[in-house]
Amino acid sequence: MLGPDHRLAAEDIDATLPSLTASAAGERANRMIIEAYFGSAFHWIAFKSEQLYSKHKNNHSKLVSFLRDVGEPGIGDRWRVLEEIRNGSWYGHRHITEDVTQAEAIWQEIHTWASN
Amino acid sequence: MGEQLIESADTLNLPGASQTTLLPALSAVPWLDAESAALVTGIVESVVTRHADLSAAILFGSVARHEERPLDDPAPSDVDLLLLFDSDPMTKRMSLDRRLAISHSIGLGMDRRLHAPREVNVVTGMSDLSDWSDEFVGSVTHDGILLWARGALPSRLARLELRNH
Repeated sequence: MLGPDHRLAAEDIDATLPSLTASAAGERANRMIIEAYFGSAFHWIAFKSEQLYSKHKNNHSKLVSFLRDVGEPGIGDRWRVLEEIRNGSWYGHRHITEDVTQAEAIWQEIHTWASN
Repeated sequence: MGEQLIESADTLNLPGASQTTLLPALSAVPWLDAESAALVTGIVESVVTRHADLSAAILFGSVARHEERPLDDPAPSDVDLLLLFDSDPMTKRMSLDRRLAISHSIGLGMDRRLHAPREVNVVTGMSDLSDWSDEFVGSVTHDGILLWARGALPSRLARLELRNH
């Protein structure tokens, strides 16, 4: 995927977020909302990495290491927490409403970084 | 179990890690390559030195069970590392600021080993384990390898403590 394609993918996911957060499923939509924040943030990171450093990762394996390597440790810190929230929402956590709030805050910071 | 000071660890002289003093408990995981073992050590050491509320570091998952996909696999297994922190009686969850501070320390611990063959997947949690399922806690108890602890483990992990003695 090329850089601009990652931006389109991020914008596609972002466009679905209002319907997810307003879903009649209520808290049962939390896992999908977190997944959307996670997916969108990944594509924004890929887009911005390509723009700034002319390289990006097409999957999230070792993405924290990649971001530290190119000089974006703060984004790496945020991505690591978002990935942990996402993994927890699938595999173990019992109380995830708070995680949605935290995932949204991280996604917003990554989105702002990528949009500037 | 009592506190295990990293500073007192023996150098294991594993290939590729001659300059690194590895966590002693990693000697129980000889199938973990030296660079990845050094990465695990660096992360734990960084968090130990910056977060007095860290209570335990536990290796779990496929590497702990020695069921890991090998390094020549297209997708080698990650190393799963659980870091437990003192519980906050006021909240069921860590605040985002606390999570980001811990993530920052994890990142600093990664910096000397950014190209280690295996990724280290760090999971953080409160030491009362209240936010994790019984299945997850059971898996950690059954397979986990205690790398570092300050004081006794929570009661739900008592079996792990016994196995690691």
